Amino acid sequence: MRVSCWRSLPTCGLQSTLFQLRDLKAVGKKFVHVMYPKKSSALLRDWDLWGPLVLCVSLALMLQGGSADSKEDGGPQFAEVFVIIWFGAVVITLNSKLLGGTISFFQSLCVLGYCVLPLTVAMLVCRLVLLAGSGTVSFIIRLIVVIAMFAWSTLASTAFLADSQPPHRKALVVYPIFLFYFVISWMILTFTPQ
Amino acid sequence: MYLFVASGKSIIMVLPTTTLRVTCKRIRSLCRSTPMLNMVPEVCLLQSVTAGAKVVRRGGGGGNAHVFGWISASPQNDLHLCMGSIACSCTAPIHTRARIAARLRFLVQPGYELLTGGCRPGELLRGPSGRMAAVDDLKFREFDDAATLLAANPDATTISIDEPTEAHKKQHSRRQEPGREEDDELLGTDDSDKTELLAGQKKSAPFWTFEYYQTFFDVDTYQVLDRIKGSVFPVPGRNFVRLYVRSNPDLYGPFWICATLVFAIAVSGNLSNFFIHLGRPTYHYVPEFRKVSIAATTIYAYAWLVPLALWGFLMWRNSKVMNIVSYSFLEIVCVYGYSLFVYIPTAILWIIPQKVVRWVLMIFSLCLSGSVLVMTFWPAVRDDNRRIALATMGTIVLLHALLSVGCLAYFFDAPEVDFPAPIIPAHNGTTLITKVK
Repeated sequence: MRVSCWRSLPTCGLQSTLFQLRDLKAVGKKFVHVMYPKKSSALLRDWDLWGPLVLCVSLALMLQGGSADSKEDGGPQFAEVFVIIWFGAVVITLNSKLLGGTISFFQSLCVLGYCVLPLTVAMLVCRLVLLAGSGTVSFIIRLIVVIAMFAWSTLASTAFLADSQPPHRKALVVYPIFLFYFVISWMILTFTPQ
Repeated sequence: MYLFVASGKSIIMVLPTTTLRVTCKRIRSLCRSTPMLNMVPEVCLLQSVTAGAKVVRRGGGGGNAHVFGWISASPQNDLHLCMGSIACSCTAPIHTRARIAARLRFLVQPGYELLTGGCRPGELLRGPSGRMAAVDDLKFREFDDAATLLAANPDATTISIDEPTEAHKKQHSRRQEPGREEDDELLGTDDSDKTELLAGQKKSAPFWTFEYYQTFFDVDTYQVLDRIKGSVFPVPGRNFVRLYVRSNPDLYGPFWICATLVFAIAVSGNLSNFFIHLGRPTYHYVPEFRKVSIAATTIYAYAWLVPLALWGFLMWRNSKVMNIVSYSFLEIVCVYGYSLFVYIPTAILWIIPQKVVRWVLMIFSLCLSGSVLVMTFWPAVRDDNRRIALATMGTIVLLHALLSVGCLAYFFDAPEVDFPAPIIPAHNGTTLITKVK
């Protein structure tokens, strides 16, 4: 857990290399920034990939136990969710850099990863609702929750990323982000327990 | 000696040549070596020509070319080139004319001036040393050093097209002359022309740098939207590549349109199957996530491998037959990518579980996107052997149709579903099984 070492090299040897409470607080602060997106640069300045990793793993775990364990036409496997999220984030970052964006590679990954938080919350809510029942009413509740969280995710990441893009190309950069969260929302919505 | 050639679409090319005997190959290679001109000469073999003479294309076929004029390099004539208003197509706006003038300007030998204005094509105008009265709106300037330049180089009939920057620098300094206001104010606002001329080649970064790949994403939002609009509403007779792509092929459109199409097909297929099977008691909804990877493989393979094959084929035929129009690989990828856009709304509408509706939609979208492809590639193959040209076009359309039929068949279940056969015990003790197809 060498995160703390990267950022304070002179005192690297002096600090312990354990995952400190300070790092947990940093991750938590970023979660709060995502849920209430203002144009602050905290997310961008001190990027880290722990939060996205935690979110990705929890989302992938919650998407397991779906309608098929190893049958052909089931839901996504753990590895598939992982690959989609990380590969999708990398492709979107490359896209925005190729279009002339000024954001750095890992900063963009950090933002996109953290903005999966609303969708993870939506997944949690969906699983709880599905515990209660799986009729039409539960489907409508799930639909509303997923749509709301999808909009939140997209708006949050756009709020953080849009400023670093050249002015005439903002829509070109925002659209892939929209598509990315749409796919994740689709996976969440179509989750059906066995 | 400079030779003027224009195609049926009235684009002008100025060629240096020491004799009047030029071949198609030379014209084409000169066109290719000057990418900023972005012209496609549609004329072929020329023998000795005179101004205003008509030149017939080799192999016949429509679209004759006209020689519009020439400049002699001999010092005593110092003729001026008359470009006239025929240089541009009738619908070209005025800044296009100025743009063509700017691009041609650097080809003109120092000491000669390119004049734009109203004059008859092929008209020979004498310079300030001579004799003929100019047309009123033509502007002349003093050639201070023309004589010295020509004296130093009396037989200079070739220009270095390979080094446009040098010639352009000379032109650039001359551009400040007061006689050029009309063109200057039209050109001064168009920075892209100047930067292109100054840069020489467009994609000059080596392929291992990031900047090289950035040149493929050099599009703005409105350009992408224009290209999408052009693919959905194909104008008959207008070439998608010439009209929209225009030597700025991008990879953004093809990549993201394919990605959107993959997910549109997968999601719509899943939804449509859900609605079709909804009433069945034994149906259990599955998200069918495997199909996403299958859709992705198919669509990306189609959108990238078929252009590769087509490009290879066109290059091969080009070397044999000297086709007039040749596209770069990226332009072909661009056309294919944007032509797939119309399948996105089609895939969404395929959720409607009616067979007739689906087939009508498919034929409609096939016509739209197929016509974009046909209108793009027909000029590239029509000079070829008739059979090969028709076979090429047929293959393009067939592959396109196969893609859409395959997607419809694989991802979308048929609306009439097989119900399991109910066993109805007949009166006589025999079992009657009815099956609904």
